[in-house]
Amino acid sequence: MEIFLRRAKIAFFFLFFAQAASALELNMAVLDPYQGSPCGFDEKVYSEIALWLDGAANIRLPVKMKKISLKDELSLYPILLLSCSRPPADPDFEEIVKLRKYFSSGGNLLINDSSGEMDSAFSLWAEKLNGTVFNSEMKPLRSDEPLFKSFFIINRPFGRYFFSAVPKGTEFEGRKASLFFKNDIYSVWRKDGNGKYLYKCVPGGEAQREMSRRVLLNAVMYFLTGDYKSDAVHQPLIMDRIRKIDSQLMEY
Amino acid sequence: MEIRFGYNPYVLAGCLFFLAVSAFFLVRKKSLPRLKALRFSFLILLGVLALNPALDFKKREYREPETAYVIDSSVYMRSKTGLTGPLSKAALAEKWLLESGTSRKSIFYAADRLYSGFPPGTGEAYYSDFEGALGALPSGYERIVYFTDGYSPVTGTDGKVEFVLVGEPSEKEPLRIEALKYPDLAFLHMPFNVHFEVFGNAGGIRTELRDNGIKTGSREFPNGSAGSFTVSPKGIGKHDYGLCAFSGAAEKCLNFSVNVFRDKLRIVYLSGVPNHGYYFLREYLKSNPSLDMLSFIILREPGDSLSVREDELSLIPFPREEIFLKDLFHFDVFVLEEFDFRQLAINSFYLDNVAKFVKEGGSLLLIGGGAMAESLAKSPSENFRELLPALPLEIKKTDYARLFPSPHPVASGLTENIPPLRGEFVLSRPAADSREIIGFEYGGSRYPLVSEKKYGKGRVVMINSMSLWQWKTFSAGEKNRYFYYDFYKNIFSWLDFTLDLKRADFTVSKTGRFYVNAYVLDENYGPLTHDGAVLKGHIAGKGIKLPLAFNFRKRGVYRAYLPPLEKGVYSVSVETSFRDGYSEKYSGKINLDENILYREGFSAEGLEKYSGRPEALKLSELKPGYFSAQKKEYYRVNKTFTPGASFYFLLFLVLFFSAELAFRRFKGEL
Repeated sequence: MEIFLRRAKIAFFFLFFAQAASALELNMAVLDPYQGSPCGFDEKVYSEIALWLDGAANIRLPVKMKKISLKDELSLYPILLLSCSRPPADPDFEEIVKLRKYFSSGGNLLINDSSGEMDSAFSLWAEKLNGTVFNSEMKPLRSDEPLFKSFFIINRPFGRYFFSAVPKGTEFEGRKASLFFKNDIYSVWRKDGNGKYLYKCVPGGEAQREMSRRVLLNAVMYFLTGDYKSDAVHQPLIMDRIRKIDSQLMEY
Repeated sequence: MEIRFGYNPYVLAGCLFFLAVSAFFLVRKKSLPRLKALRFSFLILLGVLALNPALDFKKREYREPETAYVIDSSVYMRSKTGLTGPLSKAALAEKWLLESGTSRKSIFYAADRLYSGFPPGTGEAYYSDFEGALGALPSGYERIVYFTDGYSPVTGTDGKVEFVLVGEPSEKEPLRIEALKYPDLAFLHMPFNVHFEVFGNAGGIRTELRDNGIKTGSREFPNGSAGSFTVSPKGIGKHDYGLCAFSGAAEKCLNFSVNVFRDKLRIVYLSGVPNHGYYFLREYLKSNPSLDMLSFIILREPGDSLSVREDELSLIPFPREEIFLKDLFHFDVFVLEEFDFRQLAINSFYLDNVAKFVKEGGSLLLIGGGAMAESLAKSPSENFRELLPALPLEIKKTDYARLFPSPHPVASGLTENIPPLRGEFVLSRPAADSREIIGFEYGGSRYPLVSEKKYGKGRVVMINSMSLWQWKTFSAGEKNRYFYYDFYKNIFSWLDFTLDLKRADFTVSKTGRFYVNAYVLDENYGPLTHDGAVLKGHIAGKGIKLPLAFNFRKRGVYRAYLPPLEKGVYSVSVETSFRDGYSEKYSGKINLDENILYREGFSAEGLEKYSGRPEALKLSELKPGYFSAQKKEYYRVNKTFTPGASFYFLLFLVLFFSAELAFRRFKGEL
């Protein structure tokens, strides 16, 4: 009787598990600071990035691009993308406070300079914004940062232009809360009506474009896994220590 | 015979100068050698006189030395416990001295200070001040006899003191376990030894170790030999052990408790997919220094469409065999997050091992959305399905899920108004014997969001949503900004059983002496690593109330030795005050199954420990008048010869001095 009841329970379990599991979507949004600002993402580019991330590393973005401004609630989106060709208006005091609160509660910001200029006005704006929000300046990342190995190994030029070998980041509460890409990793995705890429990647060509895609994936992965990859090297040592402790007799 | 010199240094210096000048001129003077010899003899005798010597002639004799009898008058020496009859140990010693004919003038009492003639009044001295009391003794005593039970420390002895131990009478049982030794506290996963000696009538004595009444080991040891059992503690908290010896129909058991702690909480965190929850939970766990974590995240599934060379990827192979089959039992908590068991061919063999891990005392935290719910529904392991606190039914998405705390210890510390969540939720049916921690409302019905179930010795917690990270970033808001941390702190405290622990607790133990071990934990429920708490306590019962003096012993342990007590039930109360102002009072009943006796044998150990002098007399073995009968050899000065006061010596001096004058006069030179 007991076995019968148990089997009935399992049958019930399968029977009523009506719907197949849906994909786990990330809460990632594109930040457009103000309406009409020179910032934002193209819907097609977004779709292509979403497809690439899903196919390559099981990272699922919302099907429909979520675009938010500084007036909206930011904290629902732990990852924000900000790509601008020109500097938007400076945020006011309330918006600065809001951004700081966003980062304090674990938020992350990926900033891309799509101006195509070496020392663009937007890059100065981004530096200034970081300084105001974090009270510290952006610094070039070290070559051993987890960003360069969070999924792909990044060891070649990336971006539409190769202005700098490494992106900059701002340290905040023990993590890089903000990453700034001067090389423009957004425009490399843009295509014309015929499906051809709008911009060439200089000087590396298609290999540089591929590396740009990988850097974007790594950046998103970094905001999802933190320094997991850096810690991974210590894990065998932790395991060895645990095994050693468990095998020795306690002295007292 | 003994020579003494009583010279004055100034007089001696003047004399030596005079003698040196005289000798100088005497050497240069031309005179007969015989006369010179006389003069030199005079100078020598004068030199002897300047030293003021005295010659003592001694005679040997025997007598009793001047003796001070000091009685240790600590609270424990003066307490009447019934174990030494109607008198306390101090009174017993005093009675013995008076019966020996000792004058009251020679009897002193050492308590907070030295008392002479009569014992101290009601003033309490838990421990008597031995060194201070001896320092306050009047001078002139040639011998000091100190009566003590060895409970108060004895330091600063110079060999002048003789010790007499006053203990409670004891009888040795034919079947007994002695020299029991075990650790004050133990750590989970780390085995320890219990050492002891067994005595009985038979040649071999069967000995058994029980853990909470369940036999864990049994061996036969030769009579009078030392034995040991190796214990591997399973689970944290107080473990009550019983060590029993059997000889024929006779049985003798000694009970003892060992508090088991975690040195560090060990967690394996396996996430099936990169997600925000992993980012925040891993960050939270990493911030806890008293935690060892192995973390893995499945970044790529076999089906992912990516055509790149392996060396272009930075992927770590997931050690499936090691984690699921070999090393899992080294850990305390296994966290599985949105893990699809079909991903890595985790078949029933692996899942059965996870179920075994929980059954034997491990804990499992399942955080799941759709992928894990589906794989759980199709889990091939019946054992694994049995441990689930909730059975997934379907996945629903909502922009606002109202949450309700349940009457559960995990939820009791959380706010009543749990911040709402949005996102995907797994609607599930509570499994039998499971308990809801937090529920949520969907479509007018209530479903478990967080639920738990005990499975074997372990615990399982299941979270039916991947949106809990919102408490960290969004929905908790300013009012409940620490809700995320409080929630996971409670969850892990439940999973590692520390929620069941008090920050302070005590056990009564006996390894040679009876004592109360108070266990003090820090805010992470690890043993307090420094002397950061103040403990006050007392033991009461059978009409007495005695203080317990706690001292920091080692990491997490304070110890107070129990005073001599009759067997029976007593209440122990301890108040622990932490430096941060937090304090905890706790009390409990203890049942002493044998008299606590500070036997004379024990006292010798105590004395050896404190003074380095194990030799001590035992009052029970001394006849009255023992000390007065002891006469020591002395040398009394019978006669003294002092040249300075001797007529003949001075006569010789005058003769030597005047000999030359007389000689010259005789020769007619003068």
